[in-house]
Amino acid sequence: MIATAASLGLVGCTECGLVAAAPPPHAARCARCGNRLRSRRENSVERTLAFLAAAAACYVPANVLAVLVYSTPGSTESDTILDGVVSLYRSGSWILALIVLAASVMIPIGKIALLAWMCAVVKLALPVDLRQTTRLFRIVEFIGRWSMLDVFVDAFVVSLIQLGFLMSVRPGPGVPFFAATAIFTMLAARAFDPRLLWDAHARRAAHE
Amino acid sequence: MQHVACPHCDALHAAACVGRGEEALCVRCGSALPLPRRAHSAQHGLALTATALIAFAVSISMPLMRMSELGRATSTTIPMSAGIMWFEGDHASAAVIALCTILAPAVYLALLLFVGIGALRASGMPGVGAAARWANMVAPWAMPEVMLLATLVTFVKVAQLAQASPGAGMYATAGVWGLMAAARDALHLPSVWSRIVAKGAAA
Repeated sequence: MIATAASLGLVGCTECGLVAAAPPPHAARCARCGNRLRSRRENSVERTLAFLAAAAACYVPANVLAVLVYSTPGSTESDTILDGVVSLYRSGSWILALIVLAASVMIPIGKIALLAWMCAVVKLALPVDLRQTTRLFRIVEFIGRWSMLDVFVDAFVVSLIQLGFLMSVRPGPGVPFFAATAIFTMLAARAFDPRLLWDAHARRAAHE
Repeated sequence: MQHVACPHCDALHAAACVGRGEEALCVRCGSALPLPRRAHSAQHGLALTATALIAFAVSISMPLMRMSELGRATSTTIPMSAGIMWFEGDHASAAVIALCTILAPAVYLALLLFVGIGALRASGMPGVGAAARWANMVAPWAMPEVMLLATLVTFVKVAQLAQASPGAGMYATAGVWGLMAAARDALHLPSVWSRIVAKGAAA
């Protein structure tokens, strides 16, 4: 059994690692970096789930609504994110098509599913390989920002294609939903306290 | 003896120093422990941060790419892209783009600069520990590498419609990405924290 800071009545700073005596419940800060000292994040699972619900709610319109609206004299064409992926693929850049598909479609939904599963592991003390799960959490924390890819692409395309009377491009209603999905999944990862995974495991071990 | 708690699983470890290019991993969960480096100096980190700031200034002021068709040419910069989204009525996206491509990298690099200067002064400087923590907090929102890939995707998209060529801003963005990562590695925030004498630490 490995000693944890909590098991010895201490609190570890999640930023700089400094170990401090367990503080009173409110407003104690790390002496070295000023981080709020909390043995565990309060309501971590609930807050994570709330952000995940918001991300999931934005994920649907982000993928269904148009992100780019091209108009030429006499015709208007709306592209959703998947239309964009298909046209990238047709232009021969299947690697870029795959990256956009991964960043915009697969990463957000994967993140939502994985974090929701981790919340379930904490609440239900599910038997899992915790080392692998913690590694998965580090990956989830790291890749979230890539979902912002298409928001940048849309802005660059809109600002670049100013061919005036020949063709103009406007941002579609899906773009802010994409940005919101990315932001909410990033906030969800921040709200989740992976130390709770290990606590759940310890509870389970003590129970058996 | 000094101790360190794993930020991801709370396991306690005896604090040690690591060599350059080394990382100490938690024995229980495998996450990197925030431990200081042996013989660390902030000088390289400070120089790299200053260079990254210059590259950043170039990346936001020079055109990312140019596009021409039938004798008409257009180009775009990062602030222009955010501005056009604003004028097209998509204020939310414009704000997010400005945050992730201009504000966050600027604040992040400014914080690293402050941390580097503070770490070099023997007497220490108040606020360095907190600035290092804020830098960590801002870091995920500064995303030059995502932006670089976005310019690449844009490039392929518009090349279907007209002649496109990369601009200085695109190369500078690649520079910002590399320099920012190098500056972060060289400044090594855990080393900076380790030099701050903590008042009231238990272990």
